[in-house]
Amino acid sequence: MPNGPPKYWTLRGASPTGSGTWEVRIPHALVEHVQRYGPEHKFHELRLVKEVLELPTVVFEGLREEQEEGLCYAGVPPCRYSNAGARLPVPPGRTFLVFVTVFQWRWEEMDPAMSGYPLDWRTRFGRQKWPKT
Amino acid sequence: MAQDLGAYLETESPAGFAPRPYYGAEEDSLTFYLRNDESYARRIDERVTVFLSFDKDELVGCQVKGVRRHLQRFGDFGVHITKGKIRLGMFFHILAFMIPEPERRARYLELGQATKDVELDTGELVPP
Repeated sequence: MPNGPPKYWTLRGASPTGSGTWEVRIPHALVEHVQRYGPEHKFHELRLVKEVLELPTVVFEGLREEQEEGLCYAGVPPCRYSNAGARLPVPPGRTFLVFVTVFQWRWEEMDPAMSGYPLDWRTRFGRQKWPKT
Repeated sequence: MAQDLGAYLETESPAGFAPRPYYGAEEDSLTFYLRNDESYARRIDERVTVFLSFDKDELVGCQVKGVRRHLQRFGDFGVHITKGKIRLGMFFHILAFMIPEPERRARYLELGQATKDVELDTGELVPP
């Protein structure tokens, strides 16, 4: 049994096919950097990553302008976190994004007409993988 | 040591805040937070995303894509950066001069001013 943390953490998320689950890998180097240097709320937000991966509102494939591979999960988790780790109300008009392949997580402005969808989703992302349209 | 991320998050706590850039070599992307304020992201363009505080929409940090690629491109303009440290602020100022749209350019200049004392070690910008 290794003593240190793994090189990658794994979480199970909703499969972008819409059926079943799949494994998402999170580099420990990134988690460790956030744990050491902050911002502190980003460390606590890792709890929200699991929630949005498991129950996204929408999953997009690719970032259109950068022609990047990868997926973007978006959804509104039940809370946000303060730097002290306290659960706070979800900020109005915001949705939580998790980028997979190049792993990132953050809050962004939400499309007011499509709950859970990020602003400009039609031009930013490639195909909507799920829910199927 | 926890082998499950959930358990890790329960047993570990953030150590505080220090403004230190994170460079991801695989994605050639730099993330930097100036302050510990709780924030959300706003994408400026395909290159830069800024992080703004929830309470006052003030600049808290930024993410820049293609850092290594841009530094190589600077050479085309006669700006050669050899091994060593560069100021992140200078990086944004050079990019700002390549942007014709006034609003976007102003945002880059704001980033340049905010990061003028942040040093980036070019030795870390190696491909994976």
